[in-house]
Amino acid sequence: MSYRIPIGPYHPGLEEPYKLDLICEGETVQDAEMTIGFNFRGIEFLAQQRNYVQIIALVERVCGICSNIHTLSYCQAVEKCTEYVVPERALYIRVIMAELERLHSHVLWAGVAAKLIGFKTMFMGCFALREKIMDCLELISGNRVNYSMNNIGGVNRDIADPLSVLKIVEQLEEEVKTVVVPVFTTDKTIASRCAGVGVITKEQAKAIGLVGPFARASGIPDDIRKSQPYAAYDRFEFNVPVLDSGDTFARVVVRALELLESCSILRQALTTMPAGPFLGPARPKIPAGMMGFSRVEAPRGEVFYMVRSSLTGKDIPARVKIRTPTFVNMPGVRYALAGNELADSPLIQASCDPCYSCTDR
Amino acid sequence: MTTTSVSSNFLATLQKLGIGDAWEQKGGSWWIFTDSTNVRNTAQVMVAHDARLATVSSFENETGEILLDYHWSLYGTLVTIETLTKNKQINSITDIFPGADWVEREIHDYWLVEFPDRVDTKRLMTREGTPQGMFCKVVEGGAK
Repeated sequence: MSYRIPIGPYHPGLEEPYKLDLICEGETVQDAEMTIGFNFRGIEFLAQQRNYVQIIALVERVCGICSNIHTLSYCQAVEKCTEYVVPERALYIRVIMAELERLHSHVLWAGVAAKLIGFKTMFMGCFALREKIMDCLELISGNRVNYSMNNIGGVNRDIADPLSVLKIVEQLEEEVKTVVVPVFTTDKTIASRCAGVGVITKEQAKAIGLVGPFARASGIPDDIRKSQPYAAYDRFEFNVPVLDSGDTFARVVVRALELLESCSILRQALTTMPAGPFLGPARPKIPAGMMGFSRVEAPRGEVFYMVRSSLTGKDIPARVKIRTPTFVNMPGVRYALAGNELADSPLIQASCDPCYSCTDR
Repeated sequence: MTTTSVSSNFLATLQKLGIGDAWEQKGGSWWIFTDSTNVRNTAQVMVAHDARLATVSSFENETGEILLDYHWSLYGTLVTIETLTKNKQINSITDIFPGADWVEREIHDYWLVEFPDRVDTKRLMTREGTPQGMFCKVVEGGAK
């Protein structure tokens, strides 16, 4: 006989409010139903009441972890409405911010995963490392969470002394190389807790349209930084880690290896940053009836923005569409949970690195 | 290869899909308009070419119908297929691309678009008691 276990919307096993109904046979999960929308703030609707600059502050609040990526994606979409050419230095600064944000997001996730695995020491280690990354973000932007760096036509602040940031990045890289990556890729406790758990096959991942590390752990090599490079990504050498096993362990390893790639991109960007302005001379006037699309590789996967300018030439867009990675990844958790132990369900859900603040907008 | 030759190569690829010839480049995406009766055919073509549905964006036109933009990632490039609902109805593509489930439910929530061939279109973002169609101009309190 199957029985239903309702979890959430507010529950210690969930990192954010959403509702999960697990349909179980004994200790085995057969199926799962998800209810979302508990963080719904109508941000797309609000964007239709504000001008282009005010929307930057609004979309920065879509997510508390990857706030920078939302402003970057939005600004790029607006710039595409006008074919505005952003100064080269600004493109490098955008990459630096995006990669520092990826580091901080992946390390945060590693901490959460370590906690769920029962590896509390590693949880403490990851959160201590994350503090250092946030200090670095504060050094650059003046803020630890909502950085207010991106603007239409460039960025708001320069990185006046890239070499001082590079020193911090090198220290972070050392810690990632000597502690985080070895533990998450070779530790027996982590492997035994994660290997073979919550498998999503490549076919399932394709059918659902998974993105980001969640997809790359199921053998899909898609990364927007490579397939449709934006900002200055086409100037840098980096690898896209891809694994085929599709289990929780593969997701752990892909994210751990991505930490190293982010450090490599940061090193390249900080040492080759060109001189020049970091913001265009004047904010572009957005012509009437234009559309701009932007896709960026956020820590959790592809973020999509579409901006449709006003038909009458007003300074308020007619439509701003936001699609976040968790919106397409979370339906995959249903497939990942099926056939697994009930006790593994918190870890399997977390392995998607869900963000409901993003998803619900 | 130059950007122009890459673009013309990709245009040739798009024209071979059989969706239409009038492809344009708009704001960072390849774009084409097609009749709403073609929405399932185009989805089948895209899935056959291993494309991934990034999302569907929507916008109400002056007649109250909804413009739906199906954004596909085809060989890593963004391709947008735009269509217009008829009497605010459009066929579902969830049986062709299961990942379209949530976005169709969201479009129903925000714009009151019906998907007649879906078994049910459960609410996604809104709750019982919250009026649906908050983005529609004709709904009280809807977008201005």
